[in-house]
Amino acid sequence: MIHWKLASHSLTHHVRENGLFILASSVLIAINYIFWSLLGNDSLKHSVNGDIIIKIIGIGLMFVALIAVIFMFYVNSFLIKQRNQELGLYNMLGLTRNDLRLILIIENFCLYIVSLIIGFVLGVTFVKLAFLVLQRLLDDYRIKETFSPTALLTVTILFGLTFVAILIYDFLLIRQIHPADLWKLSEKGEQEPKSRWLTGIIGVLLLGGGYFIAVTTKPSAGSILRFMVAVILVVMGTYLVFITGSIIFLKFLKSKPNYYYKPNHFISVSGMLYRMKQNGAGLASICLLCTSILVTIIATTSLFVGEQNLVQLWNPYDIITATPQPINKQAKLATEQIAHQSDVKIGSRHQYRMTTPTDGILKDGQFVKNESAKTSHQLGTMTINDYNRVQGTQRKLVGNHLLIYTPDNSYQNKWLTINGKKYPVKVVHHFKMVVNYQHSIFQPVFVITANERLAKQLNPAPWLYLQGFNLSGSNQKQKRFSLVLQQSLRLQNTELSSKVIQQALFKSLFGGFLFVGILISMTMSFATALIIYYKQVSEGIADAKRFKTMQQVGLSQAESKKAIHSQVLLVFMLPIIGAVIHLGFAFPAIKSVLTIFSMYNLKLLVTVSVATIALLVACYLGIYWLTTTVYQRLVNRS
Amino acid sequence: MPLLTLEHVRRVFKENSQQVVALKDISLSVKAGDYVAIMGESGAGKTTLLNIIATLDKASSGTIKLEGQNLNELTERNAAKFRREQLGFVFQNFNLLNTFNNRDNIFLPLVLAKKSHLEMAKRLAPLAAQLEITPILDRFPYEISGGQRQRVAAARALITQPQLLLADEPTGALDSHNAAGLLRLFDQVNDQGQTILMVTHSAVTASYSKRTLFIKDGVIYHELIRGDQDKQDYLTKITQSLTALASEEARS
Repeated sequence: MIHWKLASHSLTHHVRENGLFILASSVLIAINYIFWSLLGNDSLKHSVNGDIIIKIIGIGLMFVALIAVIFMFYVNSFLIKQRNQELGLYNMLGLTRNDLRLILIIENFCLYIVSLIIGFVLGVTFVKLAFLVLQRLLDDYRIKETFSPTALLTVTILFGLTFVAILIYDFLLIRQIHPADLWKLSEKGEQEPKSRWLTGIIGVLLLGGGYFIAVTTKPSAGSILRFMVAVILVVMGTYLVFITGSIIFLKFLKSKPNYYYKPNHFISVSGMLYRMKQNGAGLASICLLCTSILVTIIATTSLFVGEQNLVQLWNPYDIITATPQPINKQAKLATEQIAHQSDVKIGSRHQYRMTTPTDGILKDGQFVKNESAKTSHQLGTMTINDYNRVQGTQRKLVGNHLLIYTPDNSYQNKWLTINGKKYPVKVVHHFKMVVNYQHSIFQPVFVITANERLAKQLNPAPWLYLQGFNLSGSNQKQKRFSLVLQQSLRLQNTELSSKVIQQALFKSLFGGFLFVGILISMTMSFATALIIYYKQVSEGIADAKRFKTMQQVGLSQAESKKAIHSQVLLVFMLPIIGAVIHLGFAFPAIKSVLTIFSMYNLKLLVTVSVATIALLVACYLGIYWLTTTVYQRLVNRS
Repeated sequence: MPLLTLEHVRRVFKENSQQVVALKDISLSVKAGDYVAIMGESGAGKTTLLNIIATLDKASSGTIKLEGQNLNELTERNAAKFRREQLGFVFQNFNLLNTFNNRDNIFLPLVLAKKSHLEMAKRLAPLAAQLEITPILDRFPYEISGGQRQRVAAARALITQPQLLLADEPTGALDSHNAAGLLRLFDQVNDQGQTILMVTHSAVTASYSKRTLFIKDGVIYHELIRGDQDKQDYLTKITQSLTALASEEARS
């Protein structure tokens, strides 16, 4: 049958185009398969905090599925270019549109089947690796990978629908094929883009607005919406700025004869200007993908790396109790007993008393009571005697002098205004028994007073009795001990905090975040690499003729190589520079989001960020180098 | 001393382990101020010959000298430099770059030669006036007619004040009116001393030259010199030679 023949001809004679398409779709299928089989895995669901991990994976899956669909269309658009010329030729030779449609159906079906097979082979192979990584990250080796027919079926259907959508899109394009256009195709010159100042300015304003919101918004329950707005503004702004801003910038360069009429600049500026119209969007996409990769990796890695700090911060001792009444003799006895039964040994007890923390905002040397979406701190007071006992120090306080401690060591004022009264205050940089009352997302503030009266006056709230002690014994035994203890003393969840349980929770939470973050970043990196590759190839094809003419007029091969490098490097550095700028403005937001998890270690965050940026730039340059080789081969082919 | 000399130039291509002889044995010399047309059927070796003179290709054996410089010995880098300093090109399909406006297309070889912008502008003004392209300098190649494009291409070839102007089927994509205009222009610059070497298979185009060489199967088969003849007689002779060539081919 002629249709099969033509379809198979088209598939086998454009190995590069079809191969890339299959590569893209099968990798996306594999990643989706991995997510779906994680989502449906029973051992994961029933592991410690499995429900949390499943939730994180679910969010990741939504993201990955979205990327997959968008990307399939993107990759398809390159297939269409090559196909349409062929289909136009067939049309001219006498095939009807229905014949063309049939050819497309056969082609797409073959691509779908091949992608599915390769994708599932990849997926089934790499899901094993994914589980190994997950086991390590979660430190739980009972999680086992099982073959999941449901995941297989779901992905088959999901991508089947995507392919059908692509096919429908291709059908719509077929209606626009006019065979006569084939003759004109090579002669048509594209108009040089115009400077659109207005859109450029709107782009800059959107970007600035997004940045402003991102920098000024403080983390709280109500700020998620504002962050979303910031992200949307930045995304739109990035596209506009890349599309119009780059043209305005290049036109400016062109208007400077002393700059423009130099061999390298002459070739690269005119070349970039000519294709910025199509490329601006591509560069903006690369920029945004790089930004998301940076933000994802930095946030998840910081959390994971900072887990130990965080556990230490929240649980300075293995067991911490916070009760409205002091622990009585009876309770102490019961504790000993349970310890004995659970086969754990109890270390020495540390105790102090503080006023139950009040929610509010600490800003500019002033604490204001506040219970709203803006709340950021919780303040409790204690006496200098309690402080000295915990710390083992001999500090003295007189009159209304205060000491203050915040875990992020950010307080610098010499005065503290509270309830409208101003007190002289000294900052202490260390406190051994920090507790995060009710495990709240607000940052704790400890104020130390000379006496009980002042403590109560600053924070008129009931006393809270805190006790902490260490345990020795296996994790399993410690966990059992804390569960039994909580039950027998009838303590609320917020009144007892166990390091072992806490650790397990953070491990699953941050391990899950990191795992999903890595998978998503890999997907995005893959997408970025593909965009870069496609850009290089399509530009190489477009530039080949141009460089041939210039070589005839007297450009040597070495000079064309130099010109290519300066052009490509400039184009490629723009998105990464943009991404780092975006990150700079997102940094305060990342920092604040991390403080929700009581992560106050700025040095750690900066280290992780710098390392991540360096890694990304290295990978990026690697891809750049690889694709430039392809580009040069195309240009010098003639 | 002649400007350009070719001695026993031979060019052999290897195709699938088969040798194809494009140029068998070509010797010719061109004096400064000459205007030479090279004619021949497709596949006779015209373009190969032009490419070798243009340093875009190298002879398998024999010597090509331009002003005493042996072109076969040039490195790739020096060949590029040589092209941009000594040669001007006019192509059949203009080979203008759509990424540049007409002015920048003309400036291209000067930019590659790292001339100052002032110098470029100074050279362009009289040339553009002579070629009547001053009003279209700021437009793009795809916005102007074929005849205008070829005049822009000619300006690009002439702005470097080359020793030798090489033209490959310069009238091939032009209608007769525009072709005549371009050839009158070639006459003009030749009168001003510009040496021209042109490959064509149009007898009318060749009739503008001072000398016509006929190539067949990689050798120079025949030569016609215009001398004092008027254009019409010269054209008749060229057509006669072509007919003789063709009928001989039919006999063999």
